[in-house]
Amino acid sequence: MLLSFLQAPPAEMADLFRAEGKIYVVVAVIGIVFAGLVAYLVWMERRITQLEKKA
Amino acid sequence: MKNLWKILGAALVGYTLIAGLLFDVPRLVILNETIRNLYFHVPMWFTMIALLAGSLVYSFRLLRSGDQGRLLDLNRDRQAKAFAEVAMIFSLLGLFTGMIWAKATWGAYWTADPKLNGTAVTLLIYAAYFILRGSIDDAEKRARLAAVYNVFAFVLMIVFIGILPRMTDSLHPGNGGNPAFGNYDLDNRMRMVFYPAALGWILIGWWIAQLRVRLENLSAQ
Repeated sequence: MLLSFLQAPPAEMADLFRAEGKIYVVVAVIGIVFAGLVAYLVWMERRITQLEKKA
Repeated sequence: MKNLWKILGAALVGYTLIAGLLFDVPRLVILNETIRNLYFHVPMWFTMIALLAGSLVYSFRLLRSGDQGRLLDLNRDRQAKAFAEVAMIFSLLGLFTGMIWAKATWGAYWTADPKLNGTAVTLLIYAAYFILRGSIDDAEKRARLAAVYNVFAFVLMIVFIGILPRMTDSLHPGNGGNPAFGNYDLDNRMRMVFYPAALGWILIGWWIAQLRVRLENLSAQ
């Protein structure tokens, strides 16, 4: 009785969101977005290197 | 291998995007799941500071290159400018992500908090750096003046973001007697994601800034 009074109320977390499993879909989407941006950086890097060799 | 650090940066950030969403975090009221923003909001600021420090070093090197009547090395000027530019992109990202986080936890997008206002002032100080550059036609004079101003701007940035908010009351963690996350909720699980995120984003920011430098060098030819 006394102990439960001292305890803070449990914080709400996205437990259900995770339990349903589909969070992996979101993680995969974010991963693809980031991979695409890095691929673009690599492409730009190559293009600039080509131009530098020409100059 | 010359590009290893770029691969490392991409790998670290890629890892934290996954781990930052899936790994366990402390359960805290008010913050709830938004505690995960620590992995994405704070590294924006670390990256900004790292890039501005890089810009500062290039400004010093520009000024040194003109010692004893030698010609100024204008490459250093282009490097300083590009690094400051990319740093401003990261500071805007940090500002906007912080505003969303503030709305969810403090109840308002913007408060008259010393940390927030200090950041806004810093953005204006660096805006003045670009305006100063744009207002001088002579390349040597522009490089020299911009470099001197950049030293001044960096010191003010440290004062407005790093020192003043710690001397008064502030809502922002880590300021005004308000503990940073490190004090009690940055547990070891979060460190496994937060530190790689900070390093990874700094490397990505450095990469983007270097590309910008090389582009500037090409267009200067």
